[in-house]
Amino acid sequence: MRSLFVDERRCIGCLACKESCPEGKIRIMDDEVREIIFPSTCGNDCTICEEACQEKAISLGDERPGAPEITLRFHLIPCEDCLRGFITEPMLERLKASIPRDLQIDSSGLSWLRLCPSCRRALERERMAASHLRR
Amino acid sequence: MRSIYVDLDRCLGCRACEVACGRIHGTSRISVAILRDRISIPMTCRQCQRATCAMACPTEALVQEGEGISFVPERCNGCGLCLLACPFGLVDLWAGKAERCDHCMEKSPACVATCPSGALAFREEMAFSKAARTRAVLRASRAIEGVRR
Repeated sequence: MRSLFVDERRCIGCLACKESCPEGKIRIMDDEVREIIFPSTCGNDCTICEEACQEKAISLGDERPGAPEITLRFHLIPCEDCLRGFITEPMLERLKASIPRDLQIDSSGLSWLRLCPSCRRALERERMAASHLRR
Repeated sequence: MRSIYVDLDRCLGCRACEVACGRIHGTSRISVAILRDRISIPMTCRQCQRATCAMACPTEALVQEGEGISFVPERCNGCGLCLLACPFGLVDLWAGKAERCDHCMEKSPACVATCPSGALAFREEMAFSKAARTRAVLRASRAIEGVRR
């Protein structure tokens, strides 16, 4: 058995560890807040979560008996259209840093990063329909 | 570069493209929705020439290569940044990996081959817009003929 250590200053609240764990031991629950629940110990002889984390927030070490589960909480920023929380603050900051500014605003002046993916898709479909019907 | 183009005049909303895509890839990377009870709109990855999904990818699983975007599934850690970085919401996560249209790896895309009405075309942009313009002119001239009679 090994213990899981999570550096909460490094974690950005993405899905990499949860999606990679072959045993599904890392759980994520989304509401207004994203809760990421890590087991305190892991019996698996793998380092997949440690390697998957691009932020190097996870490390596996010697077992600490009786250590509790680790829960990290991130406020989810709501979509400006449907108002459902969809992105953590550190993830949004990461996107703002990696996408050039001129691409963060579309031709209509919209800051699309503030909309959730399904609202972006719906908006684009609306635009296609409107321009098609206008002809 | 060739891309998948949609002629909305021809789309029936039958969703055959979704079925074909799902058959090949396990889940469909193209989605059709019908708006205002009359216009059906298929949407799939636009293959952006400045691909924000690739810019956001921290593991270089999605990489801009010339005019296209390549994807190395083994590098994808399922973080989900790419789907939040798509301006059109056209990237998904499926089985822990980023899921977006790759034109069936440049072979004839299954959705295009299946579309019964010819609404989807896999063409160079210029070729597609020329064909669309030609059809528009033909439509207009038929309408004028109708008025003359």
